[in-house]
Amino acid sequence: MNDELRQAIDTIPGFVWTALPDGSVDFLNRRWCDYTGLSLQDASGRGWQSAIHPEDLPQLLGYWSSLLNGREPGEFEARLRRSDGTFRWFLIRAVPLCDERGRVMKWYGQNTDIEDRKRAETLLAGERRLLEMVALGCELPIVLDALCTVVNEASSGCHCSVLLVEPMSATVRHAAAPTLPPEFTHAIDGRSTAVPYWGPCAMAIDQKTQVIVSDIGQDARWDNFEWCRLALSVGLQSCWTTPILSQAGSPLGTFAIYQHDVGKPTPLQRDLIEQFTHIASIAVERAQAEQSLRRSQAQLARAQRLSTTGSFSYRVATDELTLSEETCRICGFDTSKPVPPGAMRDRIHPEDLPLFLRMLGGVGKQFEFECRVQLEAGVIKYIHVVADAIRDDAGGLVEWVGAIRDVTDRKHAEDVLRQSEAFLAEAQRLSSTGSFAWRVAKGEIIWSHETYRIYEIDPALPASFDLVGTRIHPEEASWFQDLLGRASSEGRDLEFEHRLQMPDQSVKYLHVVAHATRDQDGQLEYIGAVQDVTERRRSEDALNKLRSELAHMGRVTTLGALTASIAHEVNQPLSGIITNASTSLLMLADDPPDIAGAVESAERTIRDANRASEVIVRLRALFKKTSSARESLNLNEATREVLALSVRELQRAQVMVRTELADDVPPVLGDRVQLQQVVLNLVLNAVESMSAVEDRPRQLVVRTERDEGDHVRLIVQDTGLGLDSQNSNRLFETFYTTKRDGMGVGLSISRSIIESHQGRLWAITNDGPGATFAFSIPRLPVLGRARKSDDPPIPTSPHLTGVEGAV
Amino acid sequence: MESQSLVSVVDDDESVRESLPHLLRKFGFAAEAFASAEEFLASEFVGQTRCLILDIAMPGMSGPALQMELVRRHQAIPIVFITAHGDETVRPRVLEAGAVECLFKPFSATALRAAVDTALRVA
Repeated sequence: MNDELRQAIDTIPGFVWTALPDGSVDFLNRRWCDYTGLSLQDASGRGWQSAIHPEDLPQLLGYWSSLLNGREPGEFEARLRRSDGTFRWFLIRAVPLCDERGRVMKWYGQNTDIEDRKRAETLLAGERRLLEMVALGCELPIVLDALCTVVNEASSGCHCSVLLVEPMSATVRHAAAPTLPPEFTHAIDGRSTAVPYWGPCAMAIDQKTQVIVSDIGQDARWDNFEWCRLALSVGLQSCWTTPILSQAGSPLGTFAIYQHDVGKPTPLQRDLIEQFTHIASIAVERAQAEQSLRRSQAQLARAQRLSTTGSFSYRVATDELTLSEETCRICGFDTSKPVPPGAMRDRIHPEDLPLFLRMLGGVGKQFEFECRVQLEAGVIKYIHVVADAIRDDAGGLVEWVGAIRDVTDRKHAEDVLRQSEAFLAEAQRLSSTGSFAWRVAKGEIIWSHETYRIYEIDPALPASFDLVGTRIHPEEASWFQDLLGRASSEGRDLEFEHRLQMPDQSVKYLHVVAHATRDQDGQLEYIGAVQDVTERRRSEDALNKLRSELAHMGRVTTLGALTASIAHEVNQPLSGIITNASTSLLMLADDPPDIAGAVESAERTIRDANRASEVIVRLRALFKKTSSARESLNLNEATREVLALSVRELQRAQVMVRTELADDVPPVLGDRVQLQQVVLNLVLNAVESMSAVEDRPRQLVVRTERDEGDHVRLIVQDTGLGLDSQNSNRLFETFYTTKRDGMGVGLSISRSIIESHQGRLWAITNDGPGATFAFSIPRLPVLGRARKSDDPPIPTSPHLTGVEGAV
Repeated sequence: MESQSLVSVVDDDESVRESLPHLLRKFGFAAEAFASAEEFLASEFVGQTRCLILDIAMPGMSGPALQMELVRRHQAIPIVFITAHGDETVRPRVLEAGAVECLFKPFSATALRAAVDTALRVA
């Protein structure tokens, strides 16, 4: 190679080299040597390989070898070290020079600097990779870390960092800084973005502007600041920080570049900063959007689970049904797998399927229905479905979007409720018992169906006391009003009986019980039951009437029949006596007197008088015959029976009865029925005597006690009219009576009965109002040493009935 | 004496049958006594009787039954009932059925005279 040519080759603004056919370099031009700092001698042969980037060398050598073997031209990209130690990318081209036989005589080569193109390609690739990561939903810290790495590699000597803003607390969070020392990044984490700024990043965020600190050690803004000392301590000399802003302009964080050298960003670095700050904002916004989407999805899923409400959409055109997780759970699908087409349809209860299909195929604005779904193992659930139609711009139905709710529990509860309501209604009907609730303060009343039926009020009418008022028996209207007044003010439990008068004038008896309670607001509320006891009352009344009639009948049969019989038997001869006496008088009054006729009449008078006497004798004999049933009896028991028999009569007469029956009363020997007649007679007399008393209690005391001389005494004391002192000595005369409708023989016969029991009957006027009647009869004689008072009754024997002498 | 009105007495009680005819004759009437309704109906005096004094309660046909029988036979004889039972309800019943009076035994001679006079006026 001549000098002139060599000079030309050395001057060419490019790297030129030649190599021997075996690949060993035999020439490199001056520019190559100047760039690498290697001498021609050092670089010749294989020396040039020391200038190739170690990462690129193996591949380069392989490629070079293949070129040598194939004798074909080729090109390769590799980094070449500059004399200052930095690498730049070059495109290395090699072309063989062959002889006419095709043998390689020489290799010629040229290297072109492609650093700028290569950098642009790297950045583009890095950018593309980052955007892919963002699009694929990579975790934000990984994306930001990769972003820092791309920039660090693209611009040597740069140490990138990304901080993110915590909007709630207005602080910064360390996000990525792969090449910064941890003690520095940790110190920044959690710092406030407010004034005074802890560092340039806080300032950049707060002021939404780029902050360039070209010489940390000299910058007055952070003189004596902790950040400044910290940065210098880890060898950082400059910091260029740029806010990452959202599309809406709010700060998301900062992208900062630190350098170990003092300096400002080059135009290239400014481009880098602008480009990657933008990518960071995309990544952060995307991550935040995804996070909020995930959060709202999680919230929705939780809300669906809590409310047992799932969602679904159904695309009409494609027959595609999309179910939410909760819908899957409700319908028994595996939530981890997609629901196969048609699977939902198969779950619908066959009876409900037509409804389901009709609804999904509908054309309206919305639908709502309930149907059953059949799960595995025969479980049936009830679902409530609502959906809105989604239409396209032309108004065509695109899809149904709706909600599905599991209403199985409600359905079951409704069923149970319906069942128990039906049961209750039936029970109320069967027992003629209605129920009611009365909210006193609000004046609200609720009646059960049976209550309406009892009151015979149209169930369509709202319940009210006015309605009840139309049914209350007129005699009890004011009493009922008083009762309601007391109930609403006192709030006590109620139990009472009252009468209704129905529109047809029939009377109903109701038994009412109500429990006073307080509702949630502490307001008084009565809950109660109304029972129609008319039938029971009627039968009770009938029974009482019967009992009362029986009591009267007993009285009449013994006393009344006896007196009627006496009257009839005696009236006949009396009639004859009067007639004969009258005839006799008329005859004597004749002129001349008909003495013989008068005598004859007088004789007939005597005969009639004897007949009357015979009647008395005959009655007495009859009376004796009926008094033969003597037995040992307990006067207390006999008295209790009489009072039990008269209880209705005593109630009706509003008489209060006090019984003071002494436990130590010995048994008596007597006719149970006769003695009971006496007690009944005394009690009924007392009741009658008190019937006109209004100004004091009508009180009846019935007392038994031991009396002197082995007697037992029974006392009946009333608060009635008392004894007329003029007539008290005539009380026991056979036909004496102060009662207009009385037979007047009760006391007389009572006295006879008592006297036939070897006792006596008397009456005295009380110190207070009323009179006291009492009788005293001997106790059962104690016969023999073995017989005690509570031994079985002594059998009736003839010699004991002979009590004629006492009468 | 042919103009004397016949007053017949029907009563199962012997005292009445013995005493009443004497008093009635003393009042100036003709009187016959019968122990039962059947005996009276079987007698020849039914048609001539101008007033019938009739006991209510008798064995066999009762007084009211005889009253009905006479109505059936178109024998319009004024009747004065007499009874020993103090039953107040019987009086309005027999008066409603057409009796002139109902006397409760024992009754006074004056009351009897007034009743019979009324009966004869009705007749």
